[in-house]
Amino acid sequence: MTEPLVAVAGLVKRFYINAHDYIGAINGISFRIGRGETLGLVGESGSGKTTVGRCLLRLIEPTEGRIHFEGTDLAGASREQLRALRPRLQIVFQDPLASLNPRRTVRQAVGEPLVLQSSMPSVARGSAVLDMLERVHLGPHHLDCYPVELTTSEQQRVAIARALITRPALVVLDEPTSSLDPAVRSEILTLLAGLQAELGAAYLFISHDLMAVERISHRVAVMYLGHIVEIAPTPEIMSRPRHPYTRALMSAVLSPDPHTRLPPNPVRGEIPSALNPRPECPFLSRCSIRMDDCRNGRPPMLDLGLHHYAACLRAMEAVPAMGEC
Amino acid sequence: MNRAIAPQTRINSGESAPRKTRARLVWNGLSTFQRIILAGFMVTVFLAAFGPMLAPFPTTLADPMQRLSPPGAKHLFGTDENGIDVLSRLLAAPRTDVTIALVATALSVAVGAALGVFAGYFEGGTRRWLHWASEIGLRFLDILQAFPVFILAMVLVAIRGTGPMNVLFAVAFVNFPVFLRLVRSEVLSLRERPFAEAALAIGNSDLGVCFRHLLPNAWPVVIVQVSVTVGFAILLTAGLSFVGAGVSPPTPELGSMIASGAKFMILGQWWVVMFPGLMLGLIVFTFAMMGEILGRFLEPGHSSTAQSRARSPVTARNRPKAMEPKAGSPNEVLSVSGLVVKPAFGGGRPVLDRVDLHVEQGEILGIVGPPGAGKSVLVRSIMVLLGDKLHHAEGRIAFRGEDLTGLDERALRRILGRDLVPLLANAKEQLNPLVRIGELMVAHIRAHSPCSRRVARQRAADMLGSIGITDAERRLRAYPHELSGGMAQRVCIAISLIHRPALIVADEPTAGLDVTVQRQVLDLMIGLCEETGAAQILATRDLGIVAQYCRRVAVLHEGRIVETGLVEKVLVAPSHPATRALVEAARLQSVPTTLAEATP
Repeated sequence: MTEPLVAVAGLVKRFYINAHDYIGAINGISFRIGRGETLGLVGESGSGKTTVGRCLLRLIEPTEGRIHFEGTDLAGASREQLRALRPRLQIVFQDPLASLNPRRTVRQAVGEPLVLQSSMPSVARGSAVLDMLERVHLGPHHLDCYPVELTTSEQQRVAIARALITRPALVVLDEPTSSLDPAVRSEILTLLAGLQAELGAAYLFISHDLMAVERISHRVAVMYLGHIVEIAPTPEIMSRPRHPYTRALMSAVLSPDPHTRLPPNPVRGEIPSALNPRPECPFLSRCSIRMDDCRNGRPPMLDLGLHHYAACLRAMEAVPAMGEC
Repeated sequence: MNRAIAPQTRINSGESAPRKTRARLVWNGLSTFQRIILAGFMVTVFLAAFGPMLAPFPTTLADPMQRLSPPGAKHLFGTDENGIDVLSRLLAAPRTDVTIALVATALSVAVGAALGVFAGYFEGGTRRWLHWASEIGLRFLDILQAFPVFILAMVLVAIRGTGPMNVLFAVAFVNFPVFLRLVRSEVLSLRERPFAEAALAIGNSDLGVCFRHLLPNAWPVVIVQVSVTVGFAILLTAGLSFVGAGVSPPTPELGSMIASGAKFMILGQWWVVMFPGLMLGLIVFTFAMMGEILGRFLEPGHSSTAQSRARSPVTARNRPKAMEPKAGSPNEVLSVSGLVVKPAFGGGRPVLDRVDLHVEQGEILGIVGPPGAGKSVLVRSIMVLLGDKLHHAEGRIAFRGEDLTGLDERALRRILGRDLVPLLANAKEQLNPLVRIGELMVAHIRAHSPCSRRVARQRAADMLGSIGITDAERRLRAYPHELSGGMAQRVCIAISLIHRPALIVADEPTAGLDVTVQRQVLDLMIGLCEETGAAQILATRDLGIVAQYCRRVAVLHEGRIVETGLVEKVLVAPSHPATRALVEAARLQSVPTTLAEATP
């Protein structure tokens, strides 16, 4: 494996309630993203996936761990170092309207990263903004619109244009399609895939929508209660999910094809509280295949070959492929 | 202030239709009272600028011959004790008061807003010294604001001496804490909005975030406050002059005019004091009322949203013919025919246009459609809950053969909640936060079947038990906020099924739930419907839910049902383009898959 673009090692984020009690939002996760690669980060609300994206950009301060990005440790970088790196490291948020300043036009919003980054002459900046807008299928007539005057799809495309105009190496996509209706979701995913092919940015695609993640990710990491429980190349994880939680997630996907039979639902209950996590398998309370050993410490990441890793003591056991059960 | 207002007056170039200017649109939206206020404001500003030039007599030159002459043909408002024309002084006076008040307010806004942004932005932040600086500053303000404003201003003038400049500084000083606090509290909430985080993420410095993104969004509340403060500042200026601590005679100024006239009031020379007093009152009132009008100018894009969302006209050609219900089918629970719903005011195209539907006993009918197609309106009109903005124009909603639209409220109440029940999204928000689950369920049980509280509570516990909620007694004592979203929706399902309804009308029942929880809730809901024989209408934007849980599906598009039939047929081989678009979007068919490429 060549030098990855991002290497996260032992990332921890705790929100302390008082001196002793804390919410374990991220409990020691490690992953890498290669150049031009898309890593899908899947999990339900409360799994900590959004916190990972925020930590990666240092929008919140990680408690422990290292984040190597283009030769810098982001976790320890100073404010000045961080600002210098911002053009290389961008983010698109979930709610497009909320993430755009209501008092700034499309021209101002998309051009702003360039204004901040360099002393680019305004003529060159204008044409760069137009070029970027064209790439997201918007035109010159959108330049002077305010966010409220655009459709949801157009708003999200403006947010994408703003993130990509500085040609970043990594874009964190934080649930970019979750608040959109199905037609717009498919449109935005198409656009994101196309832009990656054109501009070569790596994506960290954070979502709870397994179908969308499957479509545009090279690899998928599944998060549960602040842990990555399974990580593997997309076709591998989709055809042979090894962690019981991954299987639960996949069986909860409701296929729009009425001929696809719904597999039986293997999980009960809901994600437990992240307050003061105990040293045991995080999925213990909902797992249908748990054993006594699962209470003795957090299960290690097992290498299953083919870049497939899962944090389950029973991951090695033969499991039927998806769709055959 | 200019920066915030200027962009809004620009006309949106993206639209072809001729548009009125923004000022005109705002003027048309004002009430008569507001127009009068606006006119009064213009007059005040005009007087402040040109008043002294309009004065028919000299404003500071005493004329002992004309002392205290009553209002008459020559001196319309009479003369004062120095024989100066009151009208002339009245025309010249606003310049002093309004100018001092405006400049003082501008000064307090500049200082207050700048400090307020910092206080709000750095409060509770990771950089402790900045946090403490803002904390100490705020406590200092607390001490300052503990003094009565007028006393504080008087003390300041007393220290620095009288004169217009010192009055100006005193007025500015007592007003800046108002703006500091206002901007701070706005920024405290603005900084949590995603666009503030986005501004940091694209590389803004802290100063950039403060002044480029946060402050412009705090302007609207500041502007409204400015107009109130200017009025107050005029009053304060006049007040200081009245007690002799401000602008001194002979400069024409309302406060000192009132002061000098007050002593003649008791002698019957009322005109010296009354006209300045009235004028002061009117000016302050006008400024106070202006805030609301100014607020209207400051909403971005406020004028164009209504026009830019005009929809393409619907053609009747897409409308399939053979979908009328077979009238009088014995198992029919609900039959909607020719339902038309229109906006209650102003006409416009119907929201629902000739909708026909029928649901048979125990059947689950999915209703899908793009956003804005009218799914929620359809659900609400079936439950006769359209509200004030929509109105049922024509059509029949027959529930077990009885037309719901023709029923009076009492008859309707007997059916709703018992035989015909709603199940809506965001269960947690629909439960009254102050009512325990048990009380809610008991009240609901007793509303439709009279029994004692004890019996009702037992039935509620049994119901929760039957939908797989363990320790039902504890749940009955819980308040809604103690339940998770999935548990709250389960409780709602239990409530809706208590009276064994004939039909459940569900609108996005699992929106906002996690996928594994959604699966559990749907399994439970559909299973219970099968058990009790209840029919269900399930409106959703998620084709997956329809494909996996419904028998038939109706596709709603721009207020019309364009396709209906068995799920296996409609979702596999859609015949209408709107359905095809929905199916393609749900399957992400147009998204190119990246999986063919080698993974690193």
